[in-house]
Amino acid sequence: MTGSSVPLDRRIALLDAVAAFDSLPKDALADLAARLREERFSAEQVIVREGELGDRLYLIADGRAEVTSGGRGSLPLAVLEEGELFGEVALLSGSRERQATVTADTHVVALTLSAADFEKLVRERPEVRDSLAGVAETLVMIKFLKQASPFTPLSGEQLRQLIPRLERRGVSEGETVVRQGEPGDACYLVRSGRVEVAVQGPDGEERQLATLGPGCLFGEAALLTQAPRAASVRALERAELLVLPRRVLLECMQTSENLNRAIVELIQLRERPRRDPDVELHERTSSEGETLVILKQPARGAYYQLTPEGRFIWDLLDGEHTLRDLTMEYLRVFKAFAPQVIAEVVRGLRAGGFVQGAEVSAGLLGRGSGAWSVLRQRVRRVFDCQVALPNADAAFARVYRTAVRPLFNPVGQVALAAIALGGLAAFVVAGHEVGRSWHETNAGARLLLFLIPAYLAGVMVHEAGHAFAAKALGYEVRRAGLGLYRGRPVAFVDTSDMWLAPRWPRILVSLAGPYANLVLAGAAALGAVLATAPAVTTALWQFAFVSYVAVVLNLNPMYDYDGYYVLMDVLERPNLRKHTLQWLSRGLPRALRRPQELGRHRVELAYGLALFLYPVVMGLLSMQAYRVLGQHWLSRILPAGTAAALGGWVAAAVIAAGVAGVAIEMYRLRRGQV
Amino acid sequence: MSRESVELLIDRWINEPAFREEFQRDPEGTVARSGLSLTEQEWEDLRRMEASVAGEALQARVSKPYFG
Repeated sequence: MTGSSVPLDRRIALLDAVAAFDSLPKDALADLAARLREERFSAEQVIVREGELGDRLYLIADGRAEVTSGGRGSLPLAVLEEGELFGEVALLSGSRERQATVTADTHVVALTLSAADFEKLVRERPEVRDSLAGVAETLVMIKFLKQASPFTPLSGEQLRQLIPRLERRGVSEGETVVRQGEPGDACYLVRSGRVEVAVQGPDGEERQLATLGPGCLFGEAALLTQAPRAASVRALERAELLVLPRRVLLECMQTSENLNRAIVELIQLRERPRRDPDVELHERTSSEGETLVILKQPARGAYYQLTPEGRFIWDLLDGEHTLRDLTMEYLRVFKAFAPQVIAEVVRGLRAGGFVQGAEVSAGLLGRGSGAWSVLRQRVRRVFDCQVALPNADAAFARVYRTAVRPLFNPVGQVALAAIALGGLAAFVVAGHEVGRSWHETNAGARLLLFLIPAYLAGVMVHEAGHAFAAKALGYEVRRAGLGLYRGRPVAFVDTSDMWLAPRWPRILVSLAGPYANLVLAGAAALGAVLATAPAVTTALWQFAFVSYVAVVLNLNPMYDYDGYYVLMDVLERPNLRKHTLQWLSRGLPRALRRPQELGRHRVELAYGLALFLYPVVMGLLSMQAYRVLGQHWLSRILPAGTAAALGGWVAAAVIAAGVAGVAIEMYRLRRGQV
Repeated sequence: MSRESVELLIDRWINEPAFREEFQRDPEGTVARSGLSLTEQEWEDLRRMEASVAGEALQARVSKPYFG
């Protein structure tokens, strides 16, 4: 024995507390304690390494250690503390190979028993061997579940609690485990061996769907969809299965959102999706001459764009083809191995309601039921709520036919353009009138009685511009109404149906809103020139000014306003912002190593740069605005130096908030949270 | 790549999340470690797995004008 910081009575007490040594009498414990050697390890030091040969058993006398597999940090299996044993798995196995790595988390004092003394002990006390074998088996099972199964997201402790609830079942070659059409009350995890999944068609012919090996789960779909078994599973060779009753699976899923997601994903990857018969299919040609298919789901108002490759996948979604079939067909035709691409298309189609598949009963999962999640949903409901006009499309169509149509013929358009341009010219020449204060006109607050309704009318005219332009081009206005958007009061018009249109009509409808404001501003400016009463002139100039500002703001392509839709359509890049941020987070690091890739992603690079530069420009403009409008006023109540410095703080705050907003969006996209 | 080998590869991709992740990071290495032997043409097919985007949901075109 080397070292003596752990006295004999403490060693005996530690051994006595180990469940595996329960049967040992006091003298045997004392004898064992005397054989222990004391070893010390500093924090971060590897105590045993996976794959090496084991020559001793460890008992932690002080400190904490982490058990991992595949290198530290890669797969945490358990945390060991004072009084816990490790190293017994290798000593009990024939190969003596360490099954995991144990690393000191803190300074660790361990008591070790040599392999020879350990063998003597278990030879003389078979019950100790049995007990330790049980512990060892649990660790091996945790490692198996962590390394290669859908249960990877569960922590070591959660797996330790799960393992006693798993029933082991051996099956012989050819034995049927699950039979198609029967109800399901359990699912199965393949521990060893291989099984075959097969489905019998209406003609009685059997078709093999998949071959599953160790770590694969099967039978879970029937538990979560509450439908009968969709396929039969039989052993291709002698196999060992772990049986999970329905209740156990559901409890596990409720403890881990990641496991929940993994199981649902598994079900969806295995299903045979079927096209929704109500989906409309529209073709259009892109500016590059590619025939695109736009799917429209009328019930949800959702739209989905398919390339020719996507159309190929769509045509195969007949409720018979599995992802395996789709991947094989895709490989045959396009010479590309693309399960990821196909799975993403099917996932997107399912999310938009374009395909029908297995529906996991939401009530079974308990997803998003946490207090934080509920609070978030409630807050979102308050800050993002809308009241829609019933039968908006019919209402706009009626008004368009009876009153607005003349504005869209050549004469009407020339008249509107004359007002817009004439008014703009008047504003440029005499716009300094905007600066005249209300006080000078003796109108005072009475002007608000004009400006507030005029402002609201401007919003309505903007929306009507979009809606009537869509109707003039023959497209549907899905929804229109009033509400809150991220807490900001808005009027809204949904012209998503324009996705079915070629590029230029789409751009026209997006521009129609700001153009309506331009015409209104022009009319106000011309009215101001013609009016004689000073109060009316000032009110009209100010309204024209506000409307011109609105035109500029709504053409901003950095956020979800009209200018953004115009830019997307000009570039023919749907979802430009999302793609740009995804590329910045995933593709840019790779592209920096391959300059030719940077060239292929010029649009993303330029737009991404603009997204980050925009807050900087806004910050500098805010500082300038503060200096012109706020600094003079604040310097009356603050020291002059402080009032001047505040401009810099305003700029820094605007830049930080803007850049952080983009970075958070990028992060959420990377994590798949958007 | 024989049909059976490819089917086996797809089965593992679908049913084993860990394999899927590994494949995402290093497709060629993952296939090589799986013990499948591929011809040059088959490797080419595998390298083309990140084919052009085949489809995407189109975001709703909802005008929410900015008026300050």
